[in-house]
Amino acid sequence: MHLHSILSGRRAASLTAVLALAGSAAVMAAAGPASAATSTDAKAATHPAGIVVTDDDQWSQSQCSADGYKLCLWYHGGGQGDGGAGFGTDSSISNLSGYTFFLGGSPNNEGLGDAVRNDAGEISNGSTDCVDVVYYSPGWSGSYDYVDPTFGGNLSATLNNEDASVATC
Amino acid sequence: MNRLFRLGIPATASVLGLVLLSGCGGSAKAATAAKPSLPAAYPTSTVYTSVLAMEFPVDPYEENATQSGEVDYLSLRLTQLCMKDFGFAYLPGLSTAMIARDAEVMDVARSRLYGISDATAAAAYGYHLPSQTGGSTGPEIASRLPAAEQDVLDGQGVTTHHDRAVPVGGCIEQSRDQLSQADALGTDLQQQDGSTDPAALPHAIDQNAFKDAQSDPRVLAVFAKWSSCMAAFGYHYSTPFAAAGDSRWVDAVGASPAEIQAAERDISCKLRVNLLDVEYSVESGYEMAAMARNTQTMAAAETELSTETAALNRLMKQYAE
Repeated sequence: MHLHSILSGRRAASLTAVLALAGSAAVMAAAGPASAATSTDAKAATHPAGIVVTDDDQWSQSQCSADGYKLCLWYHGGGQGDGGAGFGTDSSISNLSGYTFFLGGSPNNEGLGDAVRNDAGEISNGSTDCVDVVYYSPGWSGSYDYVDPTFGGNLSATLNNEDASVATC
Repeated sequence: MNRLFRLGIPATASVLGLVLLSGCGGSAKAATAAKPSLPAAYPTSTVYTSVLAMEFPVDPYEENATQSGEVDYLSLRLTQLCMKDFGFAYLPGLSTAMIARDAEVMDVARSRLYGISDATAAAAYGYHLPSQTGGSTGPEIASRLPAAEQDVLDGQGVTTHHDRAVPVGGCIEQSRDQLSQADALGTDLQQQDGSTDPAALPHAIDQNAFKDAQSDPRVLAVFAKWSSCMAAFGYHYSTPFAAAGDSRWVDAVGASPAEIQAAERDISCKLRVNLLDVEYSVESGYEMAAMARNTQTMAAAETELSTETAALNRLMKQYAE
């Protein structure tokens, strides 16, 4: 699935604040599987709106980029609003088992701390020049969705809550 | 998945044929709600040794790899031009080379549809992914741009920059609007209810077909043959997906000689038991059945794709450099 959506921003915080948050998130991500959320309240306050909807079939996203990641998965798949808690990475992951949603997001940080594998509804691409791919099976195999640089969108019905591995550059 | 090759059945002919078969149209929801039971396998005249060579029935209704790359490129190119008007050299390394790069990424993904199938890649990377080239188009993450540049890029918190009005949503939003108004974003748009855009149907069909095929007894039978083949080498997997997900491989930073050997034997067994052919013909059979239930929507999707194709050609001539 080619998800055409375009990054936009809802950077309520200053760039400095965003980068500071991105740094803390990066530390959490570096912890690998079972990464824990520790600064989510602050992040949720900084990005109260989460993923920003722009029209009926696409929505802008900035949170993955603002959080400093090339690829993000989000707990919810509704699209017309927020993605709940998120998970971000700067590198490909062959098996999402053991990883948890650690980025805060509205509404109410829903999904925070939950397992990422087989539980994501959205993907967003925070990079400017990578194609992000999410796969149905571990080891980057099976059916897949991909999302262009600066785009975001719902996972397709097959990949919704069936995310097992991800690839980015 | 998004299948990216448009070879094989001429779209118009296939739609007409399906109309004759079914005599009725359908909706995107119908495609996802009704699950055919063991549709006839799609006839093949080719012994496939590569997933990349496969021509699926729904392929002519979806963007091909080049078109996908063109959308990516034009999105960034229009954003770049907008940013230039504000004095920013956004993505100075942007070039049409990214179109081919995107296609490569898609080929890698597609080649792993039934587990790994690219023998050349397996010999070098085992079950691991070939590294994706990130390109050199600029900052890897937009938030690392200088604040003023990012403000114009996304339009957040500013209405003007040096007395020049910033588009609502910034240059990114403006470029999206330009592509949308030019009908260059006509396919594969994800709808909130999954049913309102005909162009979403082909993708729904191909993904549902893939999913249905994986539990089809014909595919399960060939998985069993493949497992036996692998067992002769000392590997014990129920499916090719299990092999790709083996923790010995996925937890390793890179491919060991043992992983490469396993990957090569995996592909060898796939070819020996004709796993690729069986997967293809069964999955294609599910696609054909779904297409036959949705002829009107498929025809509309074809029209949208045709419009998008014309728009992309026009925009590429106008903006590419």
